[in-house]
Amino acid sequence: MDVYEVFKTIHIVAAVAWVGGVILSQVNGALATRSGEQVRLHGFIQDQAWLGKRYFAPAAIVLILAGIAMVIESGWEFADLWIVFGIALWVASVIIGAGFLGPLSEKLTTELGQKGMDDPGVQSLANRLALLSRADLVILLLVVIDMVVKPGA
Amino acid sequence: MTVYELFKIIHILAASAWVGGALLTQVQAARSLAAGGPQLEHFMWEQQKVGPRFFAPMSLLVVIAGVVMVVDSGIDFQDLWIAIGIAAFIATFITGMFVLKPRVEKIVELLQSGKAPSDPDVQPKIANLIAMSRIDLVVLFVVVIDMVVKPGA
Repeated sequence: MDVYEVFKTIHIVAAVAWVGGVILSQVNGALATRSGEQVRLHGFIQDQAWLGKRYFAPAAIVLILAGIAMVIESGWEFADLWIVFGIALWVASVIIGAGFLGPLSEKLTTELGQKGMDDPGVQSLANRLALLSRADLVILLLVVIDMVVKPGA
Repeated sequence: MTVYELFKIIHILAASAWVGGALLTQVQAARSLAAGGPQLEHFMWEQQKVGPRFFAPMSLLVVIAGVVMVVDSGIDFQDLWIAIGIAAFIATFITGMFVLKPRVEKIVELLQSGKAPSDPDVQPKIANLIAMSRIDLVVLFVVVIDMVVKPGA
């Protein structure tokens, strides 16, 4: 296994952890919402608030570092279309995750505990969080397609 | 986009969902086991739901798209990296359906009968389940490395 393959393995494992984690989170979120039980929604939101900093953020950082190492090692250009797309979408996803999903999850955890899931403010917050997390998932799926198809390569 | 690329995207997305979901589940398992109480009960509730609704369909999608890719590309099923991938898929599918799933159902049954996650009847069963699912995760990561490095190709 050469240096490029080592970084490729790290990059792919981090991508799998990130994308797969987001997909499973969507499923868990849908299951919790459909159950109609506050305890389920609360448990799910608590998990997401915790996972944001300790799972998704490290996976995103490892992914980009390994990706950069791969570009340098392989001789690809950072200006190549598919790499520009990948980096731009990574930035967009990190902004959504760190700037919105993390703080909103923490706020929802607190408000859900205080006001309950029937409160209109809590429901509005939960809907906003669900919408943003779906937008984040779409971005990640676009990155996967970009990395497979490599437009412009 | 070619037929091969289309099925490669499906294969990679399903594999990411499966392996990344399994990794996220391990992280949640460790956290829930340490916390105990309602958090562990919520974790087990999720596991009972996501096994048949998420992990089983994803694993089938991985193998179906993978088979189509092999047929479409002209790669030989007897190639070492393909043989390793298929053998690992069979091992982890059997583990999931016939080892992990019945154990999850038994634990959820005990929890729903009123026993606490810390109950001496329940706690060892949860610890055993998590240990077995870790072995399954190792197998999945071996497949990821196999698919990246492609030994014998």
